[in-house]
Amino acid sequence: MDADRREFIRAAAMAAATAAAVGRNRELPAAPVLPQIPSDGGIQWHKAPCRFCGTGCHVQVGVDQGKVVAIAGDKHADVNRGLLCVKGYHVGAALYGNDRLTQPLLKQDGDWVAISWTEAIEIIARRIYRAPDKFAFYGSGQWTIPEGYAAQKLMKAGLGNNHIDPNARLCMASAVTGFLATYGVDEPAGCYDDLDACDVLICWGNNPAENHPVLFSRVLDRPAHGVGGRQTPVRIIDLATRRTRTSELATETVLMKPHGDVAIALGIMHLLVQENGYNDEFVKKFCSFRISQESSPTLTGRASTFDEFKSRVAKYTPAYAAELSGISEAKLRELAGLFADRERRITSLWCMGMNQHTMGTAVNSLVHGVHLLSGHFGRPGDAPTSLTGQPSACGTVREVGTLAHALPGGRVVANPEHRAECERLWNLPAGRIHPQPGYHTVEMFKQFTSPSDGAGDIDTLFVQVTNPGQTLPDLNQLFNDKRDLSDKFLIVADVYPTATTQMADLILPAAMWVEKNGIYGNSERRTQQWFKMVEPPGEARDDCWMTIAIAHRLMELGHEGMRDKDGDFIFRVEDDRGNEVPIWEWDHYYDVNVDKALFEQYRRFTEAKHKNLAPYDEYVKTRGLRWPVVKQSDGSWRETRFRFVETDDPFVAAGKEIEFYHSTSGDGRAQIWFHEYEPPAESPDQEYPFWLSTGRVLEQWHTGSMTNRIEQLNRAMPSAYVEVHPEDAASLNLRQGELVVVESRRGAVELPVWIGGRGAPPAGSVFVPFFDQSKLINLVTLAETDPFSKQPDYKKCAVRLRRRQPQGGE
Amino acid sequence: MRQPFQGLSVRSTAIALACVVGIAFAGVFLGVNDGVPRHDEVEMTFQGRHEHHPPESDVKLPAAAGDPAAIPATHYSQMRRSEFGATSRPLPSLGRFHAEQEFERCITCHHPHTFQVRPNQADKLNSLAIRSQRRAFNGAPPVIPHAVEQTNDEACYACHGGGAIVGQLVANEMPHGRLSNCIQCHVASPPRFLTDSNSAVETKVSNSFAGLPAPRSGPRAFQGAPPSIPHSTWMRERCLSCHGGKGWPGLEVTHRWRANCLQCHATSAPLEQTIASHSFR
Repeated sequence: MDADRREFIRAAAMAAATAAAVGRNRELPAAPVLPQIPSDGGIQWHKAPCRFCGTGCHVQVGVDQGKVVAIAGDKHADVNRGLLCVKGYHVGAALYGNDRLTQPLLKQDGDWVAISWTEAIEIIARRIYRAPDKFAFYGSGQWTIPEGYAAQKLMKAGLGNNHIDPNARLCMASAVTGFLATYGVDEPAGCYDDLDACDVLICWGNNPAENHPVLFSRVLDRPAHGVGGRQTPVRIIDLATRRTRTSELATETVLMKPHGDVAIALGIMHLLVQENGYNDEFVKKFCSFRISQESSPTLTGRASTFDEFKSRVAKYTPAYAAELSGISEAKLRELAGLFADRERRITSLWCMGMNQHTMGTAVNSLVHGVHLLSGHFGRPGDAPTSLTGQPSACGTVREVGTLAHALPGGRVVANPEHRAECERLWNLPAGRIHPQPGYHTVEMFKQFTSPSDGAGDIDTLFVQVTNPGQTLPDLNQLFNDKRDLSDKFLIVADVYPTATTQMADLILPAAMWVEKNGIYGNSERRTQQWFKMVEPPGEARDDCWMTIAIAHRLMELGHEGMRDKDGDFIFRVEDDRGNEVPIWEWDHYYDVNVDKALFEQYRRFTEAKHKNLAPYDEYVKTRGLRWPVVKQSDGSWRETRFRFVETDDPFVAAGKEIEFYHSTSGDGRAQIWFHEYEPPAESPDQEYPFWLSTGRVLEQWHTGSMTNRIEQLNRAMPSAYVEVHPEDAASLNLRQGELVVVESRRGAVELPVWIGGRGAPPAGSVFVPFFDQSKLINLVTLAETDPFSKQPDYKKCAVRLRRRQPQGGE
Repeated sequence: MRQPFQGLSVRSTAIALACVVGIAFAGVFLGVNDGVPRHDEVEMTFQGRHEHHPPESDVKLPAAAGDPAAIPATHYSQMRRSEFGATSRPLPSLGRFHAEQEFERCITCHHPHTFQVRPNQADKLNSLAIRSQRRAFNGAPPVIPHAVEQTNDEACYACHGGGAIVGQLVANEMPHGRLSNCIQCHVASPPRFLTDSNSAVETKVSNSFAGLPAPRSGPRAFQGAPPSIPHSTWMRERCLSCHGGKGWPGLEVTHRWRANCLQCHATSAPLEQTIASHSFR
């Protein structure tokens, strides 16, 4: 201590002396204070996937004396090869915001009262026990796989209640329905390796430079890394409704109208068919055609023919597609020409632009269709690839099936065989699983925020690892109405106060990221494991523990659903000698590795749809493995990079080349869909003359509840704003930074104007990021959803800009 | 060189880069217009700006030409108009710049072995302190400590590509090879209008993260031994970008005629994370 202190004084004195000696020519800034040297350099590094987006970069987490002190890109990780983005480099600080929630808080007479965990669990269990059917669980693509699996089991296997849905419904539900409609099974066939091999990268309405920066750099920096082996630079085509940071780095930007993506895909299909650019051999061997039924359309549609397909796309001539999409005929022909060229490898990337779309399922299917029709599928670099925004949207939501209609491993509750399989694997009495799908997100919140004596039959809602008070569309309708309903009970587990906890009746402090064991699944089917490295603050505990403790308390209260066929607790975990470990008691939760126990249970569900996972211990040794992972004759486990392709996928029969082994037509073929173009749910008019699109920014992640507590990130992007085109600003007489009211038919929010900022919307449209809790753009957005995926469209609605009334001037 | 520059002659590239450098520095030193059209003179301001940035409708792009249905793409020159403000972080100052110039001049006649840089301890401590203010922990990529208007790669490379010294200021050469999307890792400063004194935006964050600090020197095995490297060398493979002539005062190498740094200065296993992660637990 003494030595340190002397060193400090000496340093300060020297700095002062230097400053004095510098004189006029050398004006140094005031001498800052040097931080202390690490005590013994005893930093320990552990692997973990990054806490933020769906890319799934691996980080090395430096821990010293029980605290995270440093983060490094993991050089051994295939995903990111040592690189991170601004969020990843600062992810360690996300744990240390000074307002972490550290004890359970119950709202009593308008005040927050600290209560014990025992009391909190008791309150929740009693509310569920009283009316199990009126309970709903709202989860997250940030749930770890074991957390999601436990929630899923509590609801569907325990309570026989399917009202469980995740925030991923708002994020990638249309990608799921697109994959299901096309291939009969969810998730991309390709992987990030395609980014190393493609000649053309088409970004369909996404902005990877800000939202998946490490993947975008992987393409941009191919020459620097010597990756890919192909000499010509990658041609990056940015199909966008506004210029973004991606536009700046792309080879070209093609501005389209909202819903232009549908017209572009149809226009390309038209040209491929009319001008013989399609791949006849590929289509004949591997594809069938599908079309929506006229009434009550389903995801399987009805079988169609190439001739019918031809006649239906005939309408989408270059002139018509250009009119609908706003891109030029020449550009459309150029795009079709790229797809007609077999030599080129084309990777399509998309994310929220195509998913948060009232035609989300349709446009996802159409883009898959463009790749299939042209045969740009199945070779490295030839891939239609959708990205996810959350770290385990794929792993926990899509694979574990924490959706109102789904069961683990790609099964659905509406299918009696699937229910029977799950009941067998869970060792449940037959008929335990409810045959009706539960409420999807938008419906769940409608029910929860409607009076119980009216239509609202959800009265207790448990929210884990997400922030619907900020992310739901049309917040006034879907969330804020809860305020006046005293019989509704909102339970929120989170790490920081959020827009959602503000409305909560009971707040539970959660452990986050490396404060607990975890497993995530990223956008390229990669399952990634990490261990707990530091203790959570105060009384904060694992989300998975909360679920198990509630289940155990329900069992004690006498809820029979918490027992399996043999009368055992549904979350029974045994030690090495076969004795049950009381994991529902926090003091014993880490006596065993609960993650491992749950994962090994869950793993048995994954084989049905050939999404095979390896044993837990294999993931401990690697930076993730991409499923299907199969055991080889030498006992090692092998991951799969390219699905449905004989050269790589172990489940493709020999000699088939490409086999879609979950084909909805039952013949190993993928479906090329036709969907008719439809206009957006709401378009600008005289009263509301501007398009509004919402989205993310590089420095803040989603609702900002973590990133706005990180100094380096929040300082860079401290506030939401509305991007306005200079001509619109001039005609409305708006100045840079001025506060303006952005309002729709549903709500309004006040935002500073940014003219000529990082993003540049075309005249007649504005953009607002959604990360800022103090400026909730989702008061303004629209709750219209895609008919299949039930995912809302956050990218298109009509707004007007109004100058604020002058203030303080009487 | 990225595609937009292909086909241009070296000469015009150089001129273009020179312009970028010139504009960037003019902005840094003179303080540029913050892009705020005063609301009582919007018309005039926009008129004025049109001279430099033609509005979209004036820009004839090959793709959109002749097709009235097409939305004209925003012209490149339209893309940035508003400045990202400065952070509170101090800029580096190069007091010993003259010494560097002297060095370059001296070695034209004198054998370099006889010339030794003698780093100043006070400079070193000051440099380390400034350096630590710019990053969340030892090993984090530094934030961008100055105002910028352009955040495209070319703007960054104009100064940081080879390093630059102008007056009192130094722009370090990048310590890593050419990578794209600089602000992916280096946090840019906020838009200036959000940090204006009259802005209602709260930028202060309350966070107790204590990042790994940088040591003041690399440990030596024994007196006189070459110090080992007290930081990760990942993406810091060009030692001279910090320790060379355009680097940090007080951190300069004392023996610039030696070229192979890692021959004598060992890397640190913990800081390079060379220990396999699965050996834990």
